[in-house]
Amino acid sequence: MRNQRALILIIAVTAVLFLSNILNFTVSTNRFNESYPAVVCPPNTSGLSTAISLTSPNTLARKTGSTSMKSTEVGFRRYAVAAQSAVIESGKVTPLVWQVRKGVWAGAIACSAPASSQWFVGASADITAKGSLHIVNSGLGRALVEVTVFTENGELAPRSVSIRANSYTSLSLASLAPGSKKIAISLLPRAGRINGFLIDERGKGLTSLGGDLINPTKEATTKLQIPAIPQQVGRGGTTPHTLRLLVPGDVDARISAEIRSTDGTFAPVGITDRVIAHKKVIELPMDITMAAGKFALHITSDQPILGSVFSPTNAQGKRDFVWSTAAQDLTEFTMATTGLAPILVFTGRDVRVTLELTFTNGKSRKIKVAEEDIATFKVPDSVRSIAFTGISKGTSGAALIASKSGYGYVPLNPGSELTKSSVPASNIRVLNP
Amino acid sequence: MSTQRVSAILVVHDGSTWLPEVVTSLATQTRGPDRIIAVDTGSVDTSAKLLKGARIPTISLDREIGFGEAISFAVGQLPPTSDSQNEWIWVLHDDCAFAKDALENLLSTVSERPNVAMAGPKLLGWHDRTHLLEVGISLATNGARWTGLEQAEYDQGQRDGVHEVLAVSTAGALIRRDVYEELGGFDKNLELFRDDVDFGWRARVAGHSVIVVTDAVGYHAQAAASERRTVDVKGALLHRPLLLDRRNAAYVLLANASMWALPVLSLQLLAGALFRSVGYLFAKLPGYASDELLAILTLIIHPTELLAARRARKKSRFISGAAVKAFIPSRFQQIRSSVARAFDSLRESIIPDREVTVVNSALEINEDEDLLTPSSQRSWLALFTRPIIAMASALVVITLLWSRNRLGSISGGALAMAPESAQDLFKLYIASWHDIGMGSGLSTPVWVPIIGVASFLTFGNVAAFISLFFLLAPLALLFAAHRYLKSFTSNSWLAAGAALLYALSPVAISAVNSGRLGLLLFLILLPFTLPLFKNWAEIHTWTVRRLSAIALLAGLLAAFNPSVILVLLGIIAYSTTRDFIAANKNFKDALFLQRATRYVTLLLAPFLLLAPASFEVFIRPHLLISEIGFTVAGGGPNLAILGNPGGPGSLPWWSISPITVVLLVTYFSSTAARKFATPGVIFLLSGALVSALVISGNGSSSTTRASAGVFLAVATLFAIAAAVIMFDKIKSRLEQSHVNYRHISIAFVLLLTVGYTATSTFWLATAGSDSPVRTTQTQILPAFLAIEKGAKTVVIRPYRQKGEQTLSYYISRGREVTLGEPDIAPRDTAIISRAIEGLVDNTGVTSSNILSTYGIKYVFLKNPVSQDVVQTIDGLGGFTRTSATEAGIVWKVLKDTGRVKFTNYSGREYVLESKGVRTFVPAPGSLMLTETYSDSWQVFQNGYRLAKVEDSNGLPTFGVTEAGEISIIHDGRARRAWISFFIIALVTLTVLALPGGRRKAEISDKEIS
Repeated sequence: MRNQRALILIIAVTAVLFLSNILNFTVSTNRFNESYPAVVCPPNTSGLSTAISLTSPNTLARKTGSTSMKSTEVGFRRYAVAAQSAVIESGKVTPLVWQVRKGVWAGAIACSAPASSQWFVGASADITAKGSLHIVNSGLGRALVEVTVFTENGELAPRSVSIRANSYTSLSLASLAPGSKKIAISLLPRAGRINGFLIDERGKGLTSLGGDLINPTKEATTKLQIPAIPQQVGRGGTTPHTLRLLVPGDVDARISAEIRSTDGTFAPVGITDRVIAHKKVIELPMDITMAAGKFALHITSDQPILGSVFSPTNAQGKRDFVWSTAAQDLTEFTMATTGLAPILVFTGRDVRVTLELTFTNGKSRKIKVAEEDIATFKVPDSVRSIAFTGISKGTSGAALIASKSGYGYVPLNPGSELTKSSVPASNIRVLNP
Repeated sequence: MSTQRVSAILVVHDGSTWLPEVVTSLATQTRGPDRIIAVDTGSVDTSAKLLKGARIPTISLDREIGFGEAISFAVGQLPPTSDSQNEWIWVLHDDCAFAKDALENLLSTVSERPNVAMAGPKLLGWHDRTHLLEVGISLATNGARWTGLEQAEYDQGQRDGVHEVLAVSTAGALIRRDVYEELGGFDKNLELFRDDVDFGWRARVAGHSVIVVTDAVGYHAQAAASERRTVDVKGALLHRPLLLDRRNAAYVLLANASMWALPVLSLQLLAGALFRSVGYLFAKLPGYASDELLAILTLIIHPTELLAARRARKKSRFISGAAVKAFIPSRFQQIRSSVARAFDSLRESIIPDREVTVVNSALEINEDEDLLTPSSQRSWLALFTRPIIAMASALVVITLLWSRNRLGSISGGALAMAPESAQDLFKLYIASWHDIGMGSGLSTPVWVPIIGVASFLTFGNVAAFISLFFLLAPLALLFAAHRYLKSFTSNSWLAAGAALLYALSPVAISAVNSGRLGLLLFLILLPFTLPLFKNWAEIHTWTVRRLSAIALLAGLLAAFNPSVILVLLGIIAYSTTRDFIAANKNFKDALFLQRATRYVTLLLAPFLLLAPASFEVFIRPHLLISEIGFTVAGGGPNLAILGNPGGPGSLPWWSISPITVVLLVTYFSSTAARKFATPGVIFLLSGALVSALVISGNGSSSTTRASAGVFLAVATLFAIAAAVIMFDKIKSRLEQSHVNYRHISIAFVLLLTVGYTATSTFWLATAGSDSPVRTTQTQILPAFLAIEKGAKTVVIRPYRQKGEQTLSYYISRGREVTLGEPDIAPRDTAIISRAIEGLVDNTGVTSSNILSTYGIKYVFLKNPVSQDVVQTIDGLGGFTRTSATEAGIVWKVLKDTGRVKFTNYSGREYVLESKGVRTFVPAPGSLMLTETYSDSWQVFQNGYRLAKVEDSNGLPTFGVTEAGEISIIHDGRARRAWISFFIIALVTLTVLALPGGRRKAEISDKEIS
């Protein structure tokens, strides 16, 4: 009798546990929507020409400044924008923009999705300044953005800028911080889909001193990697570089720096152990005696810091300058390079990256890059896109592009990241504290 | 004294039971009456014979002659007197005997008080001669006879003395003959009852005094009032004493009161009669109930009688009626007396008076004992050595630590915010349409008004009631379980410890922490419910009253826990199958049918009581495993098998309760513990199975794991009961045997119990207090949205779930959701859901238009906001940001919208502002109400109902043919019908379940006096 009871109990417990665990009663999991937000490219203003490298002519795009929200196929792999800003649904591909004031300067930037915060470290607002800050609102509602300029004297009062739906506005740098030689700009969107683009264009009278597009940084970090600083050697020796730094927090930062190049790794003179005053734009000269090439600068700080390096360049006989900005750790993404042949520079302790080059004829080739400290790769002309995969930890990269009009620099950051958003589910619980 | 002459008039009516003693008491008076006349009103017993035997001159009258008339007739027979001031009439009843010196004391007192016209003795009970019946009488304003005494007051001389009173009973009343004649004797309209009060009242306003002399004592059987004999007087309709008493009470009040007081008195009398008749109906005494109403009716249909009586009284009124006011009990006195009686009854039922120890032998008496020395020297601290007090004290400490985040208005988990007052709950229950989401016509469940009624304990403050309930619930669980468990053991520490384990069981902790109001109530009532099912096997012997009481309780439990119906269904299905087999599969077997009828009643009654919400289970059976309030996920079958329902706020897995092990061990026990273990195991396994199921509903579109709280609660109590039986006298049993598996299993259970107590207590005092249910002060919506009353706002709120941010939304009407509303919240509308999805995934180009169509004015993204979502909404168009605060970001839908939209024939759209249910339509066209379509939506214009259609968006649209005022209403007739049905079902079941009242004739003599 007792055995029978035991048997019944064992069977019952086992059956219940078995049934309740293996039966597939579906508990609804939350639904998520994954998408790559459309990327926004810098507007084309008067006198400039803008070409956007895409991977496919079927890429959908629309322009700001119109009431039509319909995206159409661009029809080319290199999309020339005559006016306004292009909003491109390029999926996981990051289009590259090559902007040129013909014969005067050139600059490169990646089209990017609207950001919640952007920092620009570079440009000048002094008497030579001819540059401007373009703020694009790619949304259909009015946008509000807070612009804060930092100068060598400190932080200026923030300025709120309202931008109509699907349009852009340009702010002259000279009007933002009149007379300031060294500036850094923070863009903080309060409402709307906002992208900022900063053009540093300088001239002395009618003489042009060059120009560049300054790539933005999302946020200040304690570890700064500027992967590609062009080192050119002219008749007068090596071109001097200038490191511009900003500590946006409320505490001064103590920094240390390291240069990594094909010649080796060394600490630049006068930078390591420097204390950088907070909220002031500080410039430190970097005279690097080194053979021509590219080098990377790694800065570590005890406080979040922003920085970029200003380098005068001479590309194909044209004097220009380039702002090498910080790059985040390289992640897997694809960059469209149609019409451009950038030199890719990777830096890190142990650089390992697999490049998948897709050529205009549709063929592709994989190249494995493996070096210590720094590695460069010249992308062939016929490549329309480069996919970065198999990336080792701590590696970052940038692309340098040279043309007759000037020199351009783009950090290898994805312009559009896969966004995972929860699909809202109806639940009255939201109305309960 | 010698000049005083007393004529005793003894009225006899079937009084042979008491008459011998009455006559004896008259004969033995120390100062006997000078003359005795008996008036026999047609006695059919041996009364006449007894009177004759006693040689008392007797006048025989008709059986229907009233008491007053009989006295009047007797007085008429008395010889005329010249000194009528010293001539007294002693009015005697045939059921009232007197102490020897009664008349002497009466006479000696009145002789010293020449203004006294009426004097009466102290009346004690006939059977219990320490029971004080009357020391003078009066009349309450509701017509009740007022003695000013406590119920069954013991006579210790506390009322002794000579007191001025309004009146004295006619039983033993000594009335001055001249006053009697001056006032015209007793009112002929008062054949029986209240004639004494009336006479005293008239004597008072005529300027005389009425006193009670407590030195004179009478023993009154109150035979007519207590229905010891039939009432045959002419005016006694249907021979009903209560009817006559009530009618006469009203008559006395209305005939004697001042003209100004009449309207209020009439209303009071009517209300009192209605109130009492309802009470009698509940006591299943319909005869008495009808007496109350008929009494008033018989008075109303004879207004001339009253008018004549008032005229007659006016003639003999020499002083102001205010002289009587002092003797009429104030309303405060009446209320105080009622409350005192209620408390006495309550106290008696809770703490019965200790039985007096009967000393059988003189040897048992300790003569050395100093009676002035207290018998006990124990200090009050010794109280804490009592097991239940010690456990309760420990639990109070634990609960205070555990509840530190729940002091104040609480919500969270399954518990919605409490509304401002109980009135809001009643409104929610009565309303046919609810402003929740896009509007809901669902029936509010019955538990909502029950909470409303319960919150009267906190003066209608629902939040305070809910907070107190959750705070005191552990203590209530302890005492409820202790009451149940102590019947299984004589070891009070064991019972108290087991009760503590129940109060801190995983299912109880989960119920408190996750705000499961229904489950908590179930846990509290379970120890009271289980004993009711004790002789389930003998259900065929259950009385209708017991069946109704259990059905009512099942209904109450099912109202708070729908799974109770599932449990009941399971038990009944099993029992019916067993009975069917026992009846040799003969469904016509009498016993089988008898039992089956009771099963059906037990199942059907709660079902009907909870209608129409209960009918929904036929369409959505998963409701049987759902819970009230917000849907909160359970923890799945693997936790449930350990007796832990799991889910937010539940004990972590590592705090393993001994419940499962106890059930498994006692399942093999040879003691009575197995009787509890077997059903316990069944409930535990059922709970595990239920925990694997998924449910949705209560305003949520997503599905979650069901919580098997009810099943696990039953399993827990069974396990604890089994453990108590197992551990009872375990020491002596274990000592009698060598170490065997019993020793090991008991050691294991003990170890587990100690471990569980330590871990659960530690958890409760630390992480456990950080429960989903907590004090909440914050508002969901920004204040400015709440100002725009009724404006619809889509509230999108992020939650973190398994490390990922998820979004939920609902449509708010400018306020938070309160208790009861989640249960009637409508399901999401597909088109709105898609529009809201579009806000997040960037596809919602038309979202703004859709939201506007449905009258949604705002979108509110609650903090912490996702910047991606913010950018998406910013970029979509059709919305404009109106605020970005710490609470979150609000966008306004650009297109103008509202609750009532109107489109004229040329296609122009207007948003109409409405005042209450009325609004003005500017032109002919179509009117759209942005509420979910319901057949009950109606629009009236000029008394006509406008044609209604459901448009493609599922909204009610009406055709307007001319400009003008319109009324928009939701027809609530169906809802009111269901409420009426509920009230009828509830009253019927309650009346059937209540113990029946006893007619006075059924009350024993001992109880009466």
